[in-house]
Amino acid sequence: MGNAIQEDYRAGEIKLRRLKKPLGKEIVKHKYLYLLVLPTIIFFVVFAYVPMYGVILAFKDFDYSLGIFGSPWNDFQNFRDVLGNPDFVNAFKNTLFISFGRLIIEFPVPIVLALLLNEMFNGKLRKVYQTVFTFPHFISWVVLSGIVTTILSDQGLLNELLQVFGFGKNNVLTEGNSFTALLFISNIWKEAGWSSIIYLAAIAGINPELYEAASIDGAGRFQQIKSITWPALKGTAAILLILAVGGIMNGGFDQIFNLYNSAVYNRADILDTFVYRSAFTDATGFGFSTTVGLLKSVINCLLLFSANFVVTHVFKEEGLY
Amino acid sequence: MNKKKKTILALAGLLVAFSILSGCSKESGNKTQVNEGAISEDTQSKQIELSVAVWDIQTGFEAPNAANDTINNNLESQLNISIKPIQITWNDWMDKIKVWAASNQLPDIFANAIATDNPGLYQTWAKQGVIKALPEDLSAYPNLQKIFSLPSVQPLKIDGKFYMIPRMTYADSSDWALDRSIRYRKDWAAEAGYTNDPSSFEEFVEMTQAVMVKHPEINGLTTNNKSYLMTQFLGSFPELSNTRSWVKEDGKWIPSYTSTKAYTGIEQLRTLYTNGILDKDFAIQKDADGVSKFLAGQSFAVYGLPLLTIDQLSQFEKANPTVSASKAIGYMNIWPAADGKRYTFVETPYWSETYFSNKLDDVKFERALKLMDYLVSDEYLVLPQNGIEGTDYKVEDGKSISLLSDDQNLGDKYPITKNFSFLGQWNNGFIYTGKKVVNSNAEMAKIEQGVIDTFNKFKKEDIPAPINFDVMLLSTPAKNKLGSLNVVDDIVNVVIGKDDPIAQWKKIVEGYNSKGLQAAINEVNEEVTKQGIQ
Repeated sequence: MGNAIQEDYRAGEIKLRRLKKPLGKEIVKHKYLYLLVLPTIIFFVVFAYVPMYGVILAFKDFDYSLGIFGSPWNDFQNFRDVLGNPDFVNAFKNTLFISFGRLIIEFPVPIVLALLLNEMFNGKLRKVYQTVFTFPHFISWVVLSGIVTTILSDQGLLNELLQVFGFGKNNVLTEGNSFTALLFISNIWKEAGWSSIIYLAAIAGINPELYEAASIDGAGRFQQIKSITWPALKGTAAILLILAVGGIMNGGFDQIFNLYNSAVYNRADILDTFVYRSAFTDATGFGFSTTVGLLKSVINCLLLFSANFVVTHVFKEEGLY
Repeated sequence: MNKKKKTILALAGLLVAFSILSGCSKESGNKTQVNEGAISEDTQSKQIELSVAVWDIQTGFEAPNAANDTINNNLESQLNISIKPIQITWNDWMDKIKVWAASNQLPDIFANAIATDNPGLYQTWAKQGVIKALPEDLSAYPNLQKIFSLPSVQPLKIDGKFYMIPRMTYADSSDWALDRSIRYRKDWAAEAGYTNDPSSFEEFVEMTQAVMVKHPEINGLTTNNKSYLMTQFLGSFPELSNTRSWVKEDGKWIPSYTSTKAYTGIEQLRTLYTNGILDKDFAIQKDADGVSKFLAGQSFAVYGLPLLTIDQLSQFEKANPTVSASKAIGYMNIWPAADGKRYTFVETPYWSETYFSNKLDDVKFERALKLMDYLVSDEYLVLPQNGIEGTDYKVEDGKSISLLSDDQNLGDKYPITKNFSFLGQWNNGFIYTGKKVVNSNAEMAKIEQGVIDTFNKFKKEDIPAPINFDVMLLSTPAKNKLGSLNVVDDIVNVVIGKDDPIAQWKKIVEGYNSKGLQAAINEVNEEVTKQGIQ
């Protein structure tokens, strides 16, 4: 009996070894596939992993003559400086507020848009709408910020219209609340169409027979969405949600940097814009901004793991790992 | 894979990683860099390449006519050098140079503005061996020696040595007289019944409102950029027209923006904003938008249009085809401050500097200094402004007359010199000397003569804002950290705010305490006593 088990075990081990081919042979066999992935690996090594050594600047008193490695350790002084800086605290709060706002307000919009587009019967019209919604994605924030500023300035289109209808002028770009709303609205306008593509692709993968069957069973459009389309989308939405949470501390540098001004710093200055300003325009130095960047990454990482945990264990959906 | 192979692979991986990291790290120990070149070498006999970073230098070198830039060709052959342009632009210069400094890749010579704007970084770079100290004996460079003998330059010494060459804008700090004046539409003011400069802030408001009644579609006042708003303080607390200034109150030096004397100007700015005189969009506009509005006939007055270029003139003429710019646009002599005197803006005669990488050996450094000495010489300074005498201009009855045809201009003829010449000096005061070529455009010639006349009038009638540069340029650890405050942005927020402006400003100044304001005041006062600054 015992021998039989041992033999089975050995046989299994041998089978496993056969399955696990040596890496060299594996690479030679699928050389073209590995060649395809090589540029991506090089890209990440050069631009993502190698620069990581600079993170130790956060723990050092940077000395230009000694370089990053040679500079003396500074006993967490950078962390004390950063955490004691009211502008950092403000930027941190803004980042969380804007990012969670994006999750709550912006994240569902592409899903709803995909569902709505899917419900359109006229194929041509659907394509027109899809193109119109997708197009702004291809315009950079540099250009868009100019357009937005022109429309919303004191003598811009919005205020002209407000006056025509007897309302007072609104300084959207210099008032904190309306500026935050503008961030969400303008980002939805720019990105919702593009983001909905992935959901539309998921919807396209649903077997049409399911809809036919549901229709025969008397299900209406809403019931079909609820019972067929949404369950098919749920997995995609969960993965995208995890990714969105992973990038939660990013907050949208391009958009904010191009749109904001000193009047709304207290509401719109996120960690990325704060890092940029502290590294290049203020007199705080690289150690300070590296520390802010490091703190941001650590918090981001924790949030990513938490989101994955919630998705896999609480909602019982498939997570990233 | 067996253990041996794994170990070899891991070691190889570590070696590769170490090589990459070493490659990316800085060379250590250049703090005590040994100069390799021999001073005794005959430096003129060998052509030397000098890499130079100055604003938009690459654009000049890439211009179609670059090879025919006689001024630059003469300069390179005379000094036996070749210039290797390293591009920096007005958008990226600060960022690029900081990154180059951190990665030990600084060009041989580069422009920056840290000695005045970020004295802490200037000290750090000097002490940590990023930038090269100038020799104590500058007798071989007489033109540079002249600059370094100026009293206004002395506070830039670190432990008795200079680590940069200040890029002179003017010969004297009082020559900034027109740089924070108000340009306005004299014709519109006269139409509204105002033919003299306003004698008070209230009169300025009345005048502007009277013009706006006649031209309801215009703004009363626009600004070149937010920092030009500080012009307003010339009429109440002139020291604060320069936000880096310090004032002595109750026997103690304090930053001018913390003084209670700042309140009047802040209130006035709020009044201008709430009354609809100050452009409501000033806080969100890009630089020069306010000037464009003024030139387009969309505003009555503008903060910050010291000189008028030919392009700006044509912009004005396009928008106002029936109006003569020389007659319609005037300088407003700002109303008297609290003490009844009219003041003009004051700044150090320089606002940016030229630096040398500490990696330069003595031979290269000597040639670089010769280049700089030539760039600040009287001989060279005329060239980018007027061109070559006999070829581009001639002197008749004490006036310089252009010899260029209508389709020629100096910028196209000498494209490298156009941007490279700024490495030595801005030389903004050249026009005031009366030696500048009389513009071939009759209207422009009248405008330029008006500039010279107004400059002389302001110099004669007004007083330069009383700013103590020794205190302003003083470097102490806590004072250096105040560089991260953005006073102008905070004033802007008060101007466009809704609460009581003084209460708002007081709160902001209180907030500065948490950023080290009191420590800076203490340090500065201790240092002033120690150095015996009056």
